[in-house]
This record gives sequence, C-alpha cells and structure tokens, in this order.
Amino acid sequence: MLGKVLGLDMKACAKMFLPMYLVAAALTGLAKLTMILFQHNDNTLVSLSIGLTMVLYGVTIFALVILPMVFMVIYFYRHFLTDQGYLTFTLPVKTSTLVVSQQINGIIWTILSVVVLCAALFGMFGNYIIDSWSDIKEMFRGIFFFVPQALAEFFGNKVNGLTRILVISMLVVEVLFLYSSLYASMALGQLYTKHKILGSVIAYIGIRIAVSILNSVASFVLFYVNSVNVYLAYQVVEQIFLGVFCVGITIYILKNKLNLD
Amino acid sequence: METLVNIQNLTKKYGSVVALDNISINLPQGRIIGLLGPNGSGKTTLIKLMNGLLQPTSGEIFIGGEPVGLETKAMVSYLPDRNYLNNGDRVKNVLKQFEQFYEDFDRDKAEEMLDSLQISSKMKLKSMSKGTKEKMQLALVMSRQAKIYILDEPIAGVDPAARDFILRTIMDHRHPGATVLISTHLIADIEPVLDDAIFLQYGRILLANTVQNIRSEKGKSVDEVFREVFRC
Repeated sequence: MLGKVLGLDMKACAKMFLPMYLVAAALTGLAKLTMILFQHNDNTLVSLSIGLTMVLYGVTIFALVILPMVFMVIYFYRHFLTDQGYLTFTLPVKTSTLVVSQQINGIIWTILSVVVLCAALFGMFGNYIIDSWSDIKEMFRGIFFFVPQALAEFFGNKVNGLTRILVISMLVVEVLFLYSSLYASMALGQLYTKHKILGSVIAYIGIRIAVSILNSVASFVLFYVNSVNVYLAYQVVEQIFLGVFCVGITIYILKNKLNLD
Repeated sequence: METLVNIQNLTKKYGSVVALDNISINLPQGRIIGLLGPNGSGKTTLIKLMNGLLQPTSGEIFIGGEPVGLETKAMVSYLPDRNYLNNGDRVKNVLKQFEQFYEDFDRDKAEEMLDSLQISSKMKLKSMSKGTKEKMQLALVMSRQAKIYILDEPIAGVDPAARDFILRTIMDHRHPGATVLISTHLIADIEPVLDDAIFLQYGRILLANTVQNIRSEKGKSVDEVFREVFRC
C-alpha cells in the first residue's frame, strides 16, 4: 500500500517540480549562452541583458533551494488539511502509511532538487573550474573533505572516515527532520478551530526553538568531550529521534484529532 | 432485517458544545435511509464519525461488525458535501486512483456513467462546472460495490433537473443489498425514494421509523411531519 500511496504523491508533486526543473534548465542555458556570446561586448544594452539573465539565474538557484520545501508544505496542506482531506482520510489506507509516504516523497524530491541545483551550478560555472575528469574528482574530494576538516579542527581533532560518514549522515537526517517538523507543525496547527495556518507557524517556531535550546545544551556539554565524532554522532541520533518523534505526533493528531472544516 | 451499522451511546463534543448527545441506533442492511434535520442538527458530524473523519467523545460505531477503521473504510462509499477531488487532475487519473485504492470499484460502470454525463476521461476537473464536478463525484461513489453509501447533502445547491438525475443515479446504480444513507434537509425531493427516516435535532434522535409507518401513524407525508417537528 505504501508503494501505491507514494506513487500517487510523487505523481502529484511532479506537476510542481518538473516545470520548475525545466525552467531552471532553460534559464541556466540562457544565462550561459548570454555569457558566452556577449562576455567581451561592452555595449550597454548587452551588459544589461547579461545582468538580467544573471539575475534570473540567481533567482533560479534560490528557487531550487527554497521551493522544494514550499511545494511539499503546499502539497501536505492541500492533500491532508483542505477538502481533499475528505478523500485522503476515507481511503482504506492507514494514517501512518499516508504520513510516511509524505516523508519519503519530501526526501526524494529534495534529493532530485539538489541534483538539479548541482547541474545548474555546474552548467554555468563548470567550464571555469573543470578542465578534466581529475578536476571533477578533486572538486568532490574538496567538498567531502572541507566540512569534516573544518569541524574536526574546531574540536582539535583529526578527520577520519567516520567523521566524513557522520557529516553526510547528518545532512540526510536534517532533511528528514526538516519535513517531519514541518508536517508536525501543520498537524498541530489544524487543531485550532480558527487561524490554522497561524497555529502551524507558531507550532513550527516552537519546535525550532525547543530544538535550538536542546542543541545549545548538548553542544556545551559535548564540547568538553572534545570529540568531533561524538558530537556528530549525537547530532545524527538527535535528529533521527526528533524526526521520528515528529512523525509520531503527526500520525497521532491526524488519526485521533483530525479537524477538517 | 440484518443490522449493518450499529451506533451505541455515541456522543461528540467540541469543547462545551454537544454535537451528538448519546445517540444509539441500528441501520439495517439494504434500506434507503434519510438522515433528516435542520442545519446544525448533527447530521454531518454523525456522517464524519461513521467515516473516521472524527473521533467520538464517547460511544462506538460498528459497520459490518467492525469498529470504524481501515476495514469499514473499504465497506463505505462516501460522498461529502463538497468537492474532494484535486482540481488539477484529469478524469482518467481520478479513475485510476479509485481503481487502485478501492477493490470494489467498477471502472467500466464509472466510465459508462461519465459517458452519459458527456465527461471525457481527458478532461481536467478545473474545466468542469460545479454541477458537473458534483455529478462526477456521485458517479465515482456509486461505481463502488459498497455495503453502504453515505451521501451528505447530495442534492443541496443543484437545480431540480440535476436533483432528479442524482436521485435516479442513486436508485439505479447502488449495489444490490447495499444500504444508502442520505443526509438532507430537502425532504420533499428525497421522500419518494426513502424506506426509513431518522430525524435529528440538537444532536439527538427525535424520530426513527419507516416512511410507511410515519405516513400511516401521522396521516401526513414525511415532509409535512418534518415541517411540523422543526417549525421555527
């Protein structure tokens, strides 16, 4: 059943994401072409055109970072908390299946958006920094070394394989927690009779403040342990726990306290 | 007559507001039942509870011997009083969705009904009028071979010709032996098709009887009894 629900969710979200990817590809191509054709042209109008296409390109990059989250929130809201919820919650499908599908859906589209973002960046600037395949390998080595290296130096430690694995794991579970906290906030918000969206925003702020306080306390304590791997492992476990906790809250509220208008 | 729906001591409160007040009733199999009452009487609350869209404050509902849940959602074909389909979808995608999730969905029947409404499978829902969308939803709901059809205000806000069409569709396409529960406050239109009537006011059952008995005991139509009972 999860497969069926996920298929439905992904198809529905494709209507939002695929046009965005096409526009991103088109604007990247336009910006790149403009750069190649006119980069040595001093004409004012041409310079303005280059400027405009670069602004559009910048907006595209920004959109690829922000819009996945916006789209998933809109989809969750429409699918669960508006009139469409009358169909969603009367399907012979467990509430847990519906919610887990939303999580997986969000993670998949985020990963795809990151791939498109990297392609857009590479498409625009790749030829300035990449001359060969070994340059590409060096670039990825740099990415996967830089962040762990910086963290390890902060703790006065040396980087090892575990550090790199934990950094990547942390990025993945951050996405899990991002969506689970957004969905939990919306589930909490719909408990209000009026001003449900405001309730969701307040709930989200509350969750983030609570997590920040928890992180601050933990960071203070873990700093004295003086191990980057312990710190990262704690972050991974904490995010997983909080993500699962938020998923649990969402399932409980939608199953037992659903309040569709 | 075998009981299909068993409602025991059902209460639903929203804070201090009592929407349903300790109601108990059995709905038999194979009957067309009118759930009748003015606005705010608790009809939609009862229907939402039967569909698992709300949880009771106390009491229980059993459908086909099962408490409201996954199993009963497979037995119940529900038409809410609003458009619950995604406007961005095409008809063929909605048909596919119903086919995927409801084992008792008869796609051929649905397509036949949609053809008679001149609704093409390639049409987008957002290109349809409100009335057409409502008819489409009804066609989808009646294409299921459900044990009970629960229709919440199916003829409200539509013209008389559309009302006739809706009532004909309900009568002609319900699965044999299935119960139909229709909530409405437009009694005169629905009375000719009803077997039983339940009057609801302020969350309580005022009357529950067969239409035949109501007419013979009161010497009046159900519509006239309704107007008398719920006179402002």
